[in-house]
Amino acid sequence: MKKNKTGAEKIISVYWFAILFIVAGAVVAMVALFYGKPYDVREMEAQILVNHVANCLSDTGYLKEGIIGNEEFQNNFLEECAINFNTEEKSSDPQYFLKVEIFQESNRVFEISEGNINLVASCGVESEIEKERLAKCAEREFYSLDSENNLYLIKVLSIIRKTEKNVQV
Amino acid sequence: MEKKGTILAENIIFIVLNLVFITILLLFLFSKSGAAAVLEEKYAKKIALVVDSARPGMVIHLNMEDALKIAEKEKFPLGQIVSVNDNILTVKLREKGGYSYSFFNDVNVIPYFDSTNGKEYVFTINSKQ
Repeated sequence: MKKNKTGAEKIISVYWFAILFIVAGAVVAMVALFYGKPYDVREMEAQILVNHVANCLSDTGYLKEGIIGNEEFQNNFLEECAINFNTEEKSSDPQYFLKVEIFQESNRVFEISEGNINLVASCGVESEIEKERLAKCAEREFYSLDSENNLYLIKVLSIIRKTEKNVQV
Repeated sequence: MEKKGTILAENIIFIVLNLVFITILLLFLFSKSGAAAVLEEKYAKKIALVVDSARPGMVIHLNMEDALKIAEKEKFPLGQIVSVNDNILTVKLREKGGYSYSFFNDVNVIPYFDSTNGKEYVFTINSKQ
């Protein structure tokens, strides 16, 4: 009887060690998965870019002067709004796209787009798996007045790719 | 009486082994979460987002105590942890390492280590024009 009990205990201890190894393996795998994945900050970055452009165009609800009909502002939009689209990967395609439209009574009076236009296709994709690997989009619409109290609708779209730095490929 | 004593000893060994196992797992978890590579990425992205949201004239203080401790352990100069080249920001906590991330805000960023409290990095944001 005593002999049998020792045998059973031995079997239990073997199972116990097997369970320990399985638990340890699972924890190591989960930690490696969690910390091996880069932090994805693109959504936040796209939102900040939209806000940056909004601040550049409008101040306390009033459209800044010298924007509409000013070709110089339109041609040097990135410099005028202090935006730099250079990234750490010099050889790759532009990682940003920015589009600004200003409407007055449904007529478009200003339009500018800068960066990589191919990124627009990433917006509106519903599939969760594809969504993670695609560029992140942020859109904002707001109203602004000019000095003569004319109402303008301003639409800003910003897209950020930077997939290699934010998603595990 | 003798039998009870044997059971107690087995239980104690069993509990001690379990505690050792849990401790090793926890140590592994903490070592991974506070690893230099993870902190380099975390701070590079965090600082880049802060710079993107900043406006010229701002002075930003960032508590980087955990990263500074690792750099000290790795004997890496604390004043060289954060560097900015044009609009590329790099956080480096060890000789063979570093993580770079770009920011779109076209401003001059001057990072320096605040040696008065030894916990913070300070970033001054100036206009380029």
